Amino acid sequence: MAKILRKVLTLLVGNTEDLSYLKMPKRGALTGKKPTKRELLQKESEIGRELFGPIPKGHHREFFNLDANTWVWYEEYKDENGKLQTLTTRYEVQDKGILKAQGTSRYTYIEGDELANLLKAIRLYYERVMRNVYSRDPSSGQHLA
Amino acid sequence: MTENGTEFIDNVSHVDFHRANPEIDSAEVGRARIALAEVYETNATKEETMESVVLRYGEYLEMVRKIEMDDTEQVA
Repeated sequence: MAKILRKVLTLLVGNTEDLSYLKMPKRGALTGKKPTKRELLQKESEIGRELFGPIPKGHHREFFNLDANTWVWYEEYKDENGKLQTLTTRYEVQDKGILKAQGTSRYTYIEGDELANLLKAIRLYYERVMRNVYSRDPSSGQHLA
Repeated sequence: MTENGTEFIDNVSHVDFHRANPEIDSAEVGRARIALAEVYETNATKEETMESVVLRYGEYLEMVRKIEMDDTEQVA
């Protein structure tokens, strides 16, 4: 059987001595290195920024999961005077609820529609990021075929 | 959506996640996650709050990142 296989390979590729080309590359070998956390977050945010509807012209938006209990919304745009406006909002998941933090002094626990919309967005984010950034099944964490 | 967030309860299970990703058991993060999985098993029959489900999504994402990323560079 081995002789037949070798013969077939010889017919196909001409060289059966060095079969290293058949060896599957290790994960990350094609790009040469593993991505950094920053690069992964950028990929995640490309999905996250689209979850809240169309982004107004001239606006720049990011939305991503920074760590296990922190979600970040960043919005940037130029006002009518051409001045750059930026707003960073952190949502921190706590036992008592989800704390919204803007700037250094504004902290509120979100509720109502804002809470419902954020939770829907987080669920969509999780499902899409797991599938499209990490190629994993959101339900099991297994790699997709 | 229900008040306690039951709409968000799905079949994302810590136990399944660990079975699918045994490699994380060997990492330091694995130990913490296993403890969390045990807590999840203990609480499996209890209703989860919205906050706990959202927290779980964040934890899974963080775990996957740690598996996939080059951890020699950290986000500032």
